[in-house]
Amino acid sequence: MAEYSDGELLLQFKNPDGNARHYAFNLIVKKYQQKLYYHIRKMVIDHDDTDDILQNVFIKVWNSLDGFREDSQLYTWIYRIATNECLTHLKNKKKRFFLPIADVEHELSDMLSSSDNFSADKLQLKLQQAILTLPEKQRLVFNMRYYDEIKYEDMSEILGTSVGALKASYHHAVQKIEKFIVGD
Amino acid sequence: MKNDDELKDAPGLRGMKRENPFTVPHGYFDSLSSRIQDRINAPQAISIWEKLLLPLQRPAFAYVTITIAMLICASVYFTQKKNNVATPQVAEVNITADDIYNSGIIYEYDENTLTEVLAANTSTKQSSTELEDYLIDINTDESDLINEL
Repeated sequence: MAEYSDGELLLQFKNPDGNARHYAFNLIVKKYQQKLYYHIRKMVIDHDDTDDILQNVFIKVWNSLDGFREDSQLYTWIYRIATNECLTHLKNKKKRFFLPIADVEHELSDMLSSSDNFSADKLQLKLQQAILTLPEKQRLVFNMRYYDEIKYEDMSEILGTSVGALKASYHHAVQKIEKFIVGD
Repeated sequence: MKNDDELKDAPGLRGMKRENPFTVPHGYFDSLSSRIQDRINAPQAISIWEKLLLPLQRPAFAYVTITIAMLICASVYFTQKKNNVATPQVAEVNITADDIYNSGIIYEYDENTLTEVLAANTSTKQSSTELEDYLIDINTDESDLINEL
């Protein structure tokens, strides 16, 4: 299947014909589902939580795509929705269980080692545990840069933070993780 | 990797494979879009009342509702206050026994009403001499008076 550009998908989505609209939306889901899934999963760790959040993200995209004014790229816009959903989920989790941040990270770390859908050697597990010690925003920055290799300019659009601040944040994250891995 | 330069101070991290350790259940991505479409096409389970009341649950509507309620309470309070000031006092009617007697329609009054009016208008400061004179005037029998009292 030929991959359409975001512009073509948007054009097709804005077609008044309902079938064309659904078709274009399905293509958008197919195009971004994996990237977004792993983006969310690295933040919330649990597969079921990730599935819920991902579905909510695409439903929000469906409901809001008509109003998308193309001031930003489609993919940074969708990533921004997914990122906000992740942060809201983690915030609600803390509120619901009255947990301090450190306990949530500890819980996520436990979840990581007991998860069925996690296959990694000891070193990879240690890396993931190191990532979980980072503050949420820094964790987002590290994952997006280290794994997804997203450009700082695009990350700036997604996170609403300046490029300079993102570079500094990534640098600090790398140092902390290195210390965690080598230090033990 | 494009951003390996950024890891030059982190040899441990640079030496690691950048692989994604997370996996998904078999066939997960094949069915995702249809599950999302099902959710989009599913009829909304909320009732018409919920639809109508939903906007009222938003904070903005709550503030408006509270403001309107306060305005209503304030207007009711001030209206009542104004009415209390404007309401003319009912003129006090002082009817004396002489008025009733002179009216010529004394027989049309209820006996109990007359007793009440007389009782209310009879001065308690009347001296016992006046009372004795009155009793003598109407030829009251002493034994009848004792019985009545």
